[in-house]
Amino acid sequence: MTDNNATNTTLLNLKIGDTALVKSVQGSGSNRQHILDMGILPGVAVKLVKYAPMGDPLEIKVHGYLLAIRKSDAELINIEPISTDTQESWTTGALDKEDQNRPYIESLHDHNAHPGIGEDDDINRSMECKREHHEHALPSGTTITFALAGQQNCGKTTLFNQLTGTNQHVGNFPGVTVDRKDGVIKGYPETLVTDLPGLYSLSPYTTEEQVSRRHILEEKPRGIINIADAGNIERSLYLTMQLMELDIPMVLALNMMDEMRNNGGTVRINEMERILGIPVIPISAARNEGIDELIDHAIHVSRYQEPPLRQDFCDKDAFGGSVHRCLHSIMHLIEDHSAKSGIPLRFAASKVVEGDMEIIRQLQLTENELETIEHIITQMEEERGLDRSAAIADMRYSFIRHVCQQTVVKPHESKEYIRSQKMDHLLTGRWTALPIFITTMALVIWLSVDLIGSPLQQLLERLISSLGQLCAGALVSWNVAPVVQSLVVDALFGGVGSLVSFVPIIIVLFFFLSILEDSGYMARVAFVTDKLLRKIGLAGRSIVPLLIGFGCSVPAYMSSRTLSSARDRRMTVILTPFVSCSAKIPVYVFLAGMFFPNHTGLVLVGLYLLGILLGVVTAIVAKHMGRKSEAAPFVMELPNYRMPGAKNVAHLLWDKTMDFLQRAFTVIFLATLVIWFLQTFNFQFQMVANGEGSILAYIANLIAPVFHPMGLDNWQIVTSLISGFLAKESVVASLQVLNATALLTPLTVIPLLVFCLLYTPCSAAIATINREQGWKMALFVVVFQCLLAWVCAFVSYEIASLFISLS
Amino acid sequence: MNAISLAIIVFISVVALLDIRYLLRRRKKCQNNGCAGNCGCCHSPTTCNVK
Repeated sequence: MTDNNATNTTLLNLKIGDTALVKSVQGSGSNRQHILDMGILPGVAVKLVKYAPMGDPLEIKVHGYLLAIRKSDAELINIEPISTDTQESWTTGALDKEDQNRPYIESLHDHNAHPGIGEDDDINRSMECKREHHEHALPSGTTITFALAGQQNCGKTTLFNQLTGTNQHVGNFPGVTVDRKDGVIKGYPETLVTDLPGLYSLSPYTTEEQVSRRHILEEKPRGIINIADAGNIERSLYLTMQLMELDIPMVLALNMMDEMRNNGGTVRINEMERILGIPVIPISAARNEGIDELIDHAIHVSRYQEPPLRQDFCDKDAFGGSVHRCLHSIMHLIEDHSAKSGIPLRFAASKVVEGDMEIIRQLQLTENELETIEHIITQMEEERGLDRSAAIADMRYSFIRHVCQQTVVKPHESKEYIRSQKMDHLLTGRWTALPIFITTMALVIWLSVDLIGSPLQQLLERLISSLGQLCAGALVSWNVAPVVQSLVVDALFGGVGSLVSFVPIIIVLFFFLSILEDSGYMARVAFVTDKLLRKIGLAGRSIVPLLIGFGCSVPAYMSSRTLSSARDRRMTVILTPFVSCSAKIPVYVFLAGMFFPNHTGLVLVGLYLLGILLGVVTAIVAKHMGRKSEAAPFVMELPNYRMPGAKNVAHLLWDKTMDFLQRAFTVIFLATLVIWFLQTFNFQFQMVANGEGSILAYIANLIAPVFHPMGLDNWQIVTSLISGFLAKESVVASLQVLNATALLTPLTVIPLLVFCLLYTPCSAAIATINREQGWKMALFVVVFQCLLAWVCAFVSYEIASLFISLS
Repeated sequence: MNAISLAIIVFISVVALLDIRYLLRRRKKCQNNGCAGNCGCCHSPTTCNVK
């Protein structure tokens, strides 16, 4: 029940720097739920901070943190202006419209006693809050599994690294390309922590949320370690409350407490523990403070299976107790279904009220029950004056406000926030944002591919090549058969070795990217470029993998994993081949330099622009062909800028390097052996010289007629193109070895250049697509790019022929 | 063909076969554990989440 009669004053009517109260949130589905989950609720104050350089999205301040929201979403938020003299109080959270008339929430707290939740028996015995936990204790030897959950930018990865050190295993969650990290807590071999993706709520809308929810409900971890940003505690507790509803033993780690204290804030930990009914541990993951205490508490509550003492957050006196009565009556109604399906009761009831179809389906409710539930919810909506989703979100945020009022001394505006604001004047400024972004990315690519990466790659290449020569010399001296020499030197050192030489580029590129990501700049990149990329159906962050593609496609595909929506990841993978990687430059320079010596630069620029143009056209076509419902919501936080942690960067680099190397020695090793075999032998299994008469040449001869319309129907040229499948640079080497350049003319070299620009990515890139998106996507990219390359090469041949005949 | 040549060929063949077996087993294990098999993780030993 959205408020359709609301006046038409929306967030878009607000002036920069002004504050207003949210009156209602229109719309439906995932976008609306996401907006509500982020705390944009009726009665909450929002301040318009600025517009992105291209006028969309806009930056707003809500609950003391910054959010980026698209104009199309802002249009759904109806607002109520407030007088200028009270604006400051609203923004700082000193006032709240609903709270003014709201009765005091029932609390479990005792101001004096230390609650001792999640602590050892001798302490607990002296406290009034005793539990009979030992009867549920896990048998000794049982692996204690933990889920590490927290919102984005709260220091989750840092905490995971502190907990597990190097005992990590990187993988995917089943069926999806969402990173999953498992690790054993240092010094506790009987534990296993799974790092869940960063998420704002347990609503099933983003892939990350679905995966996390499925993991908790199906794999049933013994405990949850919930990390929250102490500086943004209101927003962080929203997820905490949903996790508490799951009835799984959990601890709350309040991270960045050092920053909070330095900025004059504090948290009354004992009172918060008492109210929430779970252990609350102040920590600083970056400084390794409080981690031991956190581990002790987490292991204790999990070993003795102590669930949260509080799962009921609804105030029975607020608004006539409408939400409270609604939730509790549904809980009674679905109790048996909840027990049967294994879904925690309170969590199931909240999700049923929110209209979560997945949970409703799993509960297997009867028609009668569904009808009764609908009546109960409708009654609640009428009494509460809010629709179901808004009412539940409001109930949670109301409880959070009361918890914070009783336990949190808010810090003054933090140094980090003030510093971020100053940096944002430049980094997201109207005239400075794009030039700084382009310069930064150009610098990253230049440093990675050219200045640092390239010399290191060449060094490694030389090292591998010298090793290959040394090996070749040894093989000759040992009278090893020529075919075996070729196998070792050409296939192993030439094929796998040349791919291994990519490692320095990957390390350097991901070093810079992880610094940009961890510092908080990537969120700004999405903010700045969103409007531009949305026109072609992509989200702002997609610009990063696409730009990396100018350096090397392999890390470009790898970095597409950081995109939050599956649709954006897929589209980015499809568009990356249109961006010319640095390995194609030797091909362009060699051919253009030979046939157009006076216009080499022009040819290069033309090819790059043609690739971009075709990429844009493909994106627009895909946008119109794609399913509209898949569009990713864009309501994201703009975190404060921070110094990236050295350990986090080192872990990421290690993971990426090991992943690439393992791939090089398995899939690519096998592919290299096959290509070498085809290139070295004829059908009588006799060795051939320079590929002439080889099986590959025979196949090339079969394919050659396909290239007849553009004058490239020679087996030498086709063989060169096939060898480019292993590595693009080898096209030049093959053209020279097979003396194919003699067969080319200025007219035929144009389609050849266009074909090289667009045809299938190299084998390393294909293997990466296979890993990121599956074999179907890898096959699609190969086939689609080859077809498109053929069409474009043919068109370019015809146009060039026309020009030549006219001149 | 001398003994060293044969040894090298046998060695590379064994490594290739082990690679194939490794990849196939991973994939099968992954699918047995309810993986939809469309994430690509089962093709990559380092990233497969099924141990």
